[in-house]
Amino acid sequence: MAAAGAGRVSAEAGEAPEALGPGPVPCALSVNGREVRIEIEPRVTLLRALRHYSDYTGPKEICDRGACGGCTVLLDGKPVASCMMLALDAQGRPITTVEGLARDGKLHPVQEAFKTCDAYQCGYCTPGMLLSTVALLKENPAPSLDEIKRGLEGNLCRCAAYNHIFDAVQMAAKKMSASPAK
Amino acid sequence: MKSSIADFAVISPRTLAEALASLRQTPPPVPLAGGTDIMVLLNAGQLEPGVYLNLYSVPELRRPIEVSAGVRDAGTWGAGGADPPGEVRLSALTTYADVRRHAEVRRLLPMLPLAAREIGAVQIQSRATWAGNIANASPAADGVPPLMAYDATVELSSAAGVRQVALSEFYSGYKQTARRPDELITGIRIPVPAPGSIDYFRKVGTRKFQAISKVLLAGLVELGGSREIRKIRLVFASVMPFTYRARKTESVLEGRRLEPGAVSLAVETLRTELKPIDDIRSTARYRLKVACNLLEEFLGTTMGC
Amino acid sequence: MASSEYTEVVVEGRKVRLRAPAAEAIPAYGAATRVVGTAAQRVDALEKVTGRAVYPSDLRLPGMVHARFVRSARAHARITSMDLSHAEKVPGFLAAIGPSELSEKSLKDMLGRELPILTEEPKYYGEEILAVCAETDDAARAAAREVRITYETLPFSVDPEERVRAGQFVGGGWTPTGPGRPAVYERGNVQKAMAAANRIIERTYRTAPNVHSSIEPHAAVASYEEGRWTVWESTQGVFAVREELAAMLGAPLLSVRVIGTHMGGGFGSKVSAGKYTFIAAYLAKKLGRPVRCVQDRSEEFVSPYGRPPSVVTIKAAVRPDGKLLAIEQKGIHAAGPYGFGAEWGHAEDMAAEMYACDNVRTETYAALTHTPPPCAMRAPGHAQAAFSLEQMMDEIAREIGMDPVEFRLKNLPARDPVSGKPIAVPRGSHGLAECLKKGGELFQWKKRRKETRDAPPPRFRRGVGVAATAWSAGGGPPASVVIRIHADGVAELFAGAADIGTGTRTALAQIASEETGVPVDRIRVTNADTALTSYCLPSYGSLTLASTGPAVRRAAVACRRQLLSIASDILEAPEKNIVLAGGRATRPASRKTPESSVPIAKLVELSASREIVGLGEREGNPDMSIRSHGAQFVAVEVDTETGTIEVTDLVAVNDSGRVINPTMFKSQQYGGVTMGLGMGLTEERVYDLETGRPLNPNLTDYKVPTILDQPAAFQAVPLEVPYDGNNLGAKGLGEPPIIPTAAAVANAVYDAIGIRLAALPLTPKRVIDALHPPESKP
Repeated sequence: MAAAGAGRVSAEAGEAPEALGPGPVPCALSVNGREVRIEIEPRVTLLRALRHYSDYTGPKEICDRGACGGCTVLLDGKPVASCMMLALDAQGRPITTVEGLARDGKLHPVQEAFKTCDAYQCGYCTPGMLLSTVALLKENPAPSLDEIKRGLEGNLCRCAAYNHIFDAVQMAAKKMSASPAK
Repeated sequence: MKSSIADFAVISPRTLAEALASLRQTPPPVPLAGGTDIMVLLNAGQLEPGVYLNLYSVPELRRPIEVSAGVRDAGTWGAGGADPPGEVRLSALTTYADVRRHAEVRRLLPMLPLAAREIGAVQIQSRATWAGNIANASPAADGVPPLMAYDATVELSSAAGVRQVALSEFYSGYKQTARRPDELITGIRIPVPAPGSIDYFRKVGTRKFQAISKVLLAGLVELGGSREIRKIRLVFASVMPFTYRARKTESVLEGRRLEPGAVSLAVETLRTELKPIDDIRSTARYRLKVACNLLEEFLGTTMGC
Repeated sequence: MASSEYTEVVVEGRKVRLRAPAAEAIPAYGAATRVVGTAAQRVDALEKVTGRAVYPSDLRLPGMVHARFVRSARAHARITSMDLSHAEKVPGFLAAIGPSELSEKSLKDMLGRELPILTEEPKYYGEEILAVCAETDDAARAAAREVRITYETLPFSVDPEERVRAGQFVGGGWTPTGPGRPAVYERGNVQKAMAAANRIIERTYRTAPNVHSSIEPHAAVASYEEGRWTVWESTQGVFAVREELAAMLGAPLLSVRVIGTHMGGGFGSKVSAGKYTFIAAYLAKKLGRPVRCVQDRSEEFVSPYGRPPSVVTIKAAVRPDGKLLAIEQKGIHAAGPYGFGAEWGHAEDMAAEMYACDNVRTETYAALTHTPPPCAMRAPGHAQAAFSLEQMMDEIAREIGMDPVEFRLKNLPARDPVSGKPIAVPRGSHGLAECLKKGGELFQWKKRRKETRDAPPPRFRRGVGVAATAWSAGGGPPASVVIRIHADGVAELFAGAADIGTGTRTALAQIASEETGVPVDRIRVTNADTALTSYCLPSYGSLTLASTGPAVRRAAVACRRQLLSIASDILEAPEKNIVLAGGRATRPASRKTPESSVPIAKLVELSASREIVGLGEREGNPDMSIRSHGAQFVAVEVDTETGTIEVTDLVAVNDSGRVINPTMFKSQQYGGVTMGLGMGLTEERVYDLETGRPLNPNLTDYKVPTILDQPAAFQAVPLEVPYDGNNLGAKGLGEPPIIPTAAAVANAVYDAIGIRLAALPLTPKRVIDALHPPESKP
């Protein structure tokens, strides 16, 4: 049996680079197509960089541990819990928050569907729910009910608008497949 | 008493060599991969102050999943076809999402995508790494039991070189692992099970999502022509203080024909072998009862195959 | 319905009966409405889907600084020293306030019991000791963590039963009894009835401590300028917060403005001002800068919020023909160390009110535990009480061989058994009877109940269960509303009520649109701002729509009259022939004349005042017991090997009178039932008995239902039983759906495995323990 990768990790001599921090360091983020330059301590999470060190309050700070999905943003187009990563790691990679979903004043089909289906109550979990839905439909344009549940399982809604969220995701899926985005 | 949460510095090496050199410092920095465990502590202000080694910036650690050929077995793999797969290698930064998206791994190692689904939401799967799950040494880790059942080995690298440790030898107690502070997990190697092997993965929790398992069993069995058990692996999470391979029960089963008598013998053995934990998530009594039921289900359904 | 209600008040020791203001009767809606009853889209939908809705925790003001609490690390202790020197060195540190500075300051509950803002003798783990303030939230957190406190540990207990045994309790419920005496309610003669009965059933039920877990944490931002505070608060009631805060600050009422336009969920925990509210306002004045005080999730689990756990022993006597003869109940619930909030544990009301029964006695003990003080949580008391009462109803029905639905129908009260007032049941129908019948049909109850069970029982066992609810939900005064229609045809609606996610703003706009003809999307709703809107009770008790809605209709009718008067002159038609709809006044075509119409904007422009203003006040209620009813039918599948319970089917039927918006009505049903499933199956705040510390203060281990936990088949069904006690014909809905859920699930589990699970939540462990009792080999 061939051993994949064996011996390919070589341990050449290297120099240990300098540590950053604990004091503030510059950090450049690309949020909704806009360059955001801030000074933050290296421990600052992407969520707090967005909410506390710039003006993006769409991502919400709810559970502090990746258990609720309220801070979901798209990073390289993929959903991540922004409270679960350092802002420094997001540098140079496109970030989409709920504020960036609508384009040129036109709502994203997922936003339209959430509006139509009353897919929220208090609305505080909605930004995360919208971004998870956008990510889900990108990977799976026609999800089954079970796939919708799996795609959104990490987004808690205490008001429990879940049943109307099912409707909204299905409606958005239909609309988007009828007129696929460029 | 923890010091200020502000005492958090980050080294972001650009190469593996730099990362390994950093680990030779005293005290060594703490490796940070997907960060889904460490960030919980950071947000809660419970993280030990110190220097963290950010592996995200190291390209060598992001190599894609590799599937390599094994020895041809003409009986199973048709002549003229492709070489049968022999081993799968995950990198240090391979995420749960990477595995779920990899069609060949899904086919060859079906327990891995099942475990990936349990680890957390999509948002977590796209950050959390298999290597991190191993290194963090949580007794409730969802990713470790299937890897252990597949006889995975852990590739540990340091400035001094590379060594391979069987995952089943990696843990020695609660949060006790074989990794030295100057070592990094740089890869995980998983031999593809023999054709016809039967696997079993089941997690029991209160809630369906993020159940944080109360009991988890990953099992793998290889049967011979007359239903004799050639090889069996039984790995439990959330039952003992660390991911636990039930070797005593395995050895009772190996070489025996799979029949009702063997099942009850195995369950009886397991009942004395496990010394389950009691915590807020459940009781020892519940864990023992359900662990035995899961074993019974695994062997029972295998008998029916 | 004309208002005829009297309120009795005491003025300088003298009893005075106040009449509700006389108001012209506006009859409840007839069948034909254009906007009311439609699934209008929320008026704030756009803000909610674009992230533009600014919640108090999102607010950023220039110069704003951040406050955080330092909390007790002991369940009961005296503080022997506090060292702030390290905290003061944290860069950005601004101020710290200690208990001595605020020794006179406390929150007060509904019965006037006090809870100190800060304390030197913490009586529960996590109680607030100090507040610190810094330039950034990170610095405030760091400073809070740097405060060094030493304690002298004192004895404590988190177990309500233990505290009652030790005599450490007050009476629960709404009648304070003082220390060491339970609250007692009695009618008839229970002892005699029990002695004469031949069938008596008794069982003890336990419910777990639950935590609201609103997705937005408790949050306030306060600024202070020129003697006035402006407070943005995540709240269910801006006027309650204003009153309490002004009193605590010792400031005139009008020096405090509270704004609560958007808020991220409350479920009873944001009804009044919090400690964080006071701290933000106090520091804003002290520092002369806006102060934000927002709790993080772990704090949400140790703050004075949550549904207290209960232990209810219920005993009932029944005649063989199914007539309930007597109910006796002893209820214990945790009330925290101060008795503050003890009114929210009351489990006695439901046993006394729900069914016709001549002999009832309840005793309620509010145990003084070293746990966070309780507060109202969605259907306070009832959700706990239903778990015992509705399981007991099931148990009795089985005992006497009666269908549990039939048994409930047999014991429906025509009058409120406590107040003696008639239950609003027009035209011979009873809301609860209708709900039970409709739900039974949709669920196919009779058929599914009789489905034969497999023998021998398989690993996965199925069962069905039912439970019912009633909740006083008539709403009522005070509520006053102003509508202004402007010359561009846009209407403004000013209402004090908070929209806590239920869609209040939208429902009110629909009611206004129905009368005025201004389309819903041309109505701007300004709500929950003490400077701009009129006084209103908090959005709690399922009273918001039934309180404010009729006032909106009255204001809208006042506008309508003015619009019609002008339209009548312009269109040369009698007012009764003019339709106000779609932003226009229209005279339909007749045989002689074609249709003609004029925009509402034009009518306003031509009006003498150049603006149409309508004022509406909520009239009184009829002298009746006004209840919302509901029934839930549940099917479960129990895995006997792992103990997991899967709710496979659920039908929830609710009668709350007129449905203003069916989509939002269903949202309430889904939401309440789902929270009930959490209460029933997964949610429990667990305390460490050694330290009194909550062991699961996070959303991983305190398990609220996720999208995966929704039953595969889940029907929410509105049922409009006509009600004419207010001009909408609507009653409240927010709370009723959570009440019967846990009991319905437990009844279904009994049906499946033949064992009654008497403690919440119904975890896999409890199922396994029930199937394999601990004395047996595991």
